[in-house]
Amino acid sequence: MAFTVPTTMSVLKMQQLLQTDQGAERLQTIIENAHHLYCYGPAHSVVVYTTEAKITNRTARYEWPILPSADGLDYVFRHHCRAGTGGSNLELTVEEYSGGAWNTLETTTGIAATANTPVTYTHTDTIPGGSTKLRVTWGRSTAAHEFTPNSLTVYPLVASLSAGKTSAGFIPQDDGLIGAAGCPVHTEFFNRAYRNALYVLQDRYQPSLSFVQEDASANMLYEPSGASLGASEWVRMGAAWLSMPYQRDATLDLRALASVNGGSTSGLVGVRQAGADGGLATFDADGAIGTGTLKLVMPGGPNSGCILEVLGTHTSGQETYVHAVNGYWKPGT
Amino acid sequence: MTTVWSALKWGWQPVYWLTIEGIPVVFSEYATGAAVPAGYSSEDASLIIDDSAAVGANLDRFEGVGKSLPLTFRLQDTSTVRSYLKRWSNETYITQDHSSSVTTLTVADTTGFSSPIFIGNERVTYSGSTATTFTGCTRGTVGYAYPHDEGSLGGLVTDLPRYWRGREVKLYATAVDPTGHLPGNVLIDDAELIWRGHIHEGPQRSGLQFEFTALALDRRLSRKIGQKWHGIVADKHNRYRVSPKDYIQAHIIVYDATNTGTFDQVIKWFPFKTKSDGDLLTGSEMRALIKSEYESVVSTLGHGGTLTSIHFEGNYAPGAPNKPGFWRYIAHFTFAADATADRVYVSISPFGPFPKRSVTVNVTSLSAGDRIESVWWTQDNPKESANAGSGHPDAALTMAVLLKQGHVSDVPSTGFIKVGTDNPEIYEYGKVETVGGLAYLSQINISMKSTYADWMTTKPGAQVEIVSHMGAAASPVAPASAVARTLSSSGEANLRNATYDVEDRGAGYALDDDQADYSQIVDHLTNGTLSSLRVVVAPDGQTFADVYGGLLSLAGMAIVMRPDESDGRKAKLMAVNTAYGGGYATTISDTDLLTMGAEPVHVEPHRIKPNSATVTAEQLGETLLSMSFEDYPAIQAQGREHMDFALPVAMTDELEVALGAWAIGILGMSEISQLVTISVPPWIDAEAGDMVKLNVTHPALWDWANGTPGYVGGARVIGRETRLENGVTTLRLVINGETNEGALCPSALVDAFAGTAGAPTTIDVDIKYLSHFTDAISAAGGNIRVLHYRPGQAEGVADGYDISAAAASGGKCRLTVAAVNGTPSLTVTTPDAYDDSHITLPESANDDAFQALFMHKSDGSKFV
Repeated sequence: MAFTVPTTMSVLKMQQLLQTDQGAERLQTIIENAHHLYCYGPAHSVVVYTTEAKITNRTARYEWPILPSADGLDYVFRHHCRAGTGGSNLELTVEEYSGGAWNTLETTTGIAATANTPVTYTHTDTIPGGSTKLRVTWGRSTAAHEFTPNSLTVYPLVASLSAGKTSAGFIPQDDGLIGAAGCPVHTEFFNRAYRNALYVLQDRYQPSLSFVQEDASANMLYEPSGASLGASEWVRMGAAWLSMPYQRDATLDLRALASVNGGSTSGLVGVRQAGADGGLATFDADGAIGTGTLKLVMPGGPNSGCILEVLGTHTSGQETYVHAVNGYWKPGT
Repeated sequence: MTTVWSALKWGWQPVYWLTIEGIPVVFSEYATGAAVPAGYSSEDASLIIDDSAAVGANLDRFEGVGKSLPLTFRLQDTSTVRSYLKRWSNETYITQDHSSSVTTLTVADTTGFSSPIFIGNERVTYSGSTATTFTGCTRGTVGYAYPHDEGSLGGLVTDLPRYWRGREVKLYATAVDPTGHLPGNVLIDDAELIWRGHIHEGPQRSGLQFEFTALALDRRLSRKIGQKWHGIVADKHNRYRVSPKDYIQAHIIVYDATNTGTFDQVIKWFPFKTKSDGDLLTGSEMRALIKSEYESVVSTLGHGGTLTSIHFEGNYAPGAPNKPGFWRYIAHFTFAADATADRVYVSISPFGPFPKRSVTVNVTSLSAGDRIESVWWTQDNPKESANAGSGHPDAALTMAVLLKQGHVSDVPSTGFIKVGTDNPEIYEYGKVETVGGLAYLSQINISMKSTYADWMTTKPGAQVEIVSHMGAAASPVAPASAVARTLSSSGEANLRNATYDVEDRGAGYALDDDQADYSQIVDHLTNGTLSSLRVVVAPDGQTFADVYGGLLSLAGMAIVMRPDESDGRKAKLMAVNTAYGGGYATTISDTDLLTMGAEPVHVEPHRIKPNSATVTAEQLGETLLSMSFEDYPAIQAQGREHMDFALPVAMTDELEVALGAWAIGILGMSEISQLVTISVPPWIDAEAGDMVKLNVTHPALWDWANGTPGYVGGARVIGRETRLENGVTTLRLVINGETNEGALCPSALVDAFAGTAGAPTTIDVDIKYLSHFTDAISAAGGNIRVLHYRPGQAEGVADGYDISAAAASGGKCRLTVAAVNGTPSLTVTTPDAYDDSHITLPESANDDAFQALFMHKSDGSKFV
């Protein structure tokens, strides 16, 4: 027996579905495609840091809310950072927040770097199902050497499937029956393949919006304050095109992490769809993860998408620190 | 299953009797003397069934509807028949609208009447009357109650039936023994409603009898439906509700150079005081009233020396491409000349809920007509603030329509608008209100065929059709629900069905719960691709097949009249599959073939396989989306064979996804199947839509899989005709051709068991598997083998059971375990979990003849 996981998804051609003596082989392909989907996708986080370039004499730390799989999967973390001056090692620490504490996933001081060269560093770690935040800290072993954190992509990579239903509802399929000579081709085979694909997509939030600044307020690039605009006036901190082919009127799950240096924290961070009369999702800047949803108005079709804007405001005489705003989506919402 | 035809095996004969809606007489072939059904008063042995008559249904797989046979019958010239077929002696008419449930009918004059009375096709009994009312009415006796509108031809009240066309005819069969004796003494007890339809022609004198022709129930679906209102565009101005209580308050101060207020007055005015609460006005009408009433109040208060008027300055913000823009207005206060003025303060509180706004403007002096710009920004609706952050609801498009046909009050609350005649524009509206004699349509949505540029070119005077619809682009409905609503909707909410009778009159067929099994239809159509599609339906003089034919055809389903096993085998509309696959209703073998006078098996030419197909999403006859599938190599080799399918799908995204799956079905169809007819006795329990197992050696059939005459395998019944004269039944079947289209093996979730997990004595599964297991055991002539597995755990062919019996028990199918094979361990949780134990068929090496009919690996079959 085995729970076979193909390394690539095999899309059946129309001719294959019309063949005589179709037997169970095509069906097995469909079932294994669902296994592949479970183990390989989709990406969970794609973060391009909004950060100062050529940082020296300090570390740079980023923290943002996440919505990982309920199954506590192994994820590949693929970091990109550009080394500036000097050839000292890059140093990296990756932590996740669950159980009321930060837990280290990866820490290294030995990422070799060449001056003025982009560096890619990859590691695989498990993110527990209840984890709510990720935190990444970059630095260099020689403090005076420059570095510019660029991005991080986090995607699932499950090495093998185990027997039994997962927390997310996925049920793997052993090939002992479907691989047997003259096996019955039964209805539950179909139902499980369909159901498994559905459960994976319902479990895996996909990144749809990411705005992540350095955690320390002193190092933030953008912070709404009285220096630039009146109290309670919104300022656009960033905008991005969200491409969602064939999706019409999707709803995003939004998470925000923000704080203030004083005063009221209520409703100081916002996300809206540009050009739409729809609502503005607002979040408190109280240091806790703010949650909300935003219903998008999109035309559907292959080029469907919209522009999302991250907004910030402040109260009189105070500053607002927007650490991170992240949007996640899963099919059916 | 035992049917009314089963007794014919033993020399019994059917006797036919029928009822006509609203006529309390049972018309039978001979006087049975049995008690007539409740509500009927007598039996009249006057029925003559034409010897050539037949009942049954044929499925049109490409229209998604059944086409059941018509029925022609005659009534003899008896005194009872005569008493109904003559002109009425009393008549009057209703003087107001009546719902189907009211028990007092108001008419012009009740003089001369006695209960019962007839209105349209409805028979009403009553217990009392006044000069102008029938009271204590019992509606729809021996038939159905209807709503009646004053002014309709159907509103004529008579003491005998005036109308016959459209009355429902129900044909029953009751088996009598070879001596002609009816078992029991209640006619309905052993009868079966084998056919129902509606009178299409007749009564007509035919010799010494009266002849009627009735069309089957499902032929009613060929009637065109749709409700629309014609008119012209009056204007496209937005309108807003006003109240005489709406007021504006302004505080105006004029200061001189010494900072002394030379004029300091609060002015309050009610601009809409002459209007009624809820009146709808355009923005310009409202601004004009705000201005005129302000001027009037200023004059009345004697402030004309300082204040003169209000001027609204408009500012148009264009919209995004294909989106409407919007107007914003700012109010300017105008002043009389004042050489000492140095500063003007204006504070305004418009329409209560908006916050007070104030501004101070420095001036050197005021000349007559000088304007001071307030900070009162409004949308087109002066009652709405033009705060840019709050959205612009007045940007929604609107249209006022002057109706040329139909009543403004009847215009549906949501619907479609067709503007123009050639290549009409199509829009959707979400709200309707009445403005004088105009239908004011708002929340107009440009998301279908037309663009905002089209909208901008629409001028007053353009021809408009308002068409009622089901669902909306923003909230389309599931096909299953749409079909049920179309079948049931009568125009009176919940009359024919408590859930689905919700659409406007004219938008549906008003078929009663007794005529259609709505729960079965909805359940059946909530499957496969149809379950994820959503539709918006706006029949515009179209038939049921026009609207749903493409959808049902592509999904391999149809609506047909057939016996409802859950309701005494009454003939009803039900949903069935037309595609291959599924469990078998019965087995037909050589001994079931009737050879009286003709070959029992005929092979019919089948439709040439298409190699090109176009699927269009349509609304109101206009194409919203069209997708074509072309198999170019096949077209080159065979010539183009094209098929068109039209769907009422407004949400094109879902359609694009569904089309990918359907393309395989369309381009891979037909060549793989044969169409045959076979003659069988009437007790063969196979109806249109059933799968049957065919096990015959007749050489007219060809087994393509084995290259031998005869055929053993599944067959889809797509037609059944039973001749009433002798019961000879003809079945039209689709069977496999070059390839086998396999029915998937069932996999039954284990619900409970007796004994231990490792050694059960009985296993319970859902009752729907009962016929399958009993057929399998019967075919095996002994024990059958089944496999056990749990999803997510190790699976294989080693673990399972030998089953010796299957029987209904406690609402479940209970399997008796004769032996345990391997080491299965049953896992059952409460409530049921998907990864509980399952039972399925064994591998090919261990199956029986019945189980082998279901798909197994490498058996030459394909799933469809």
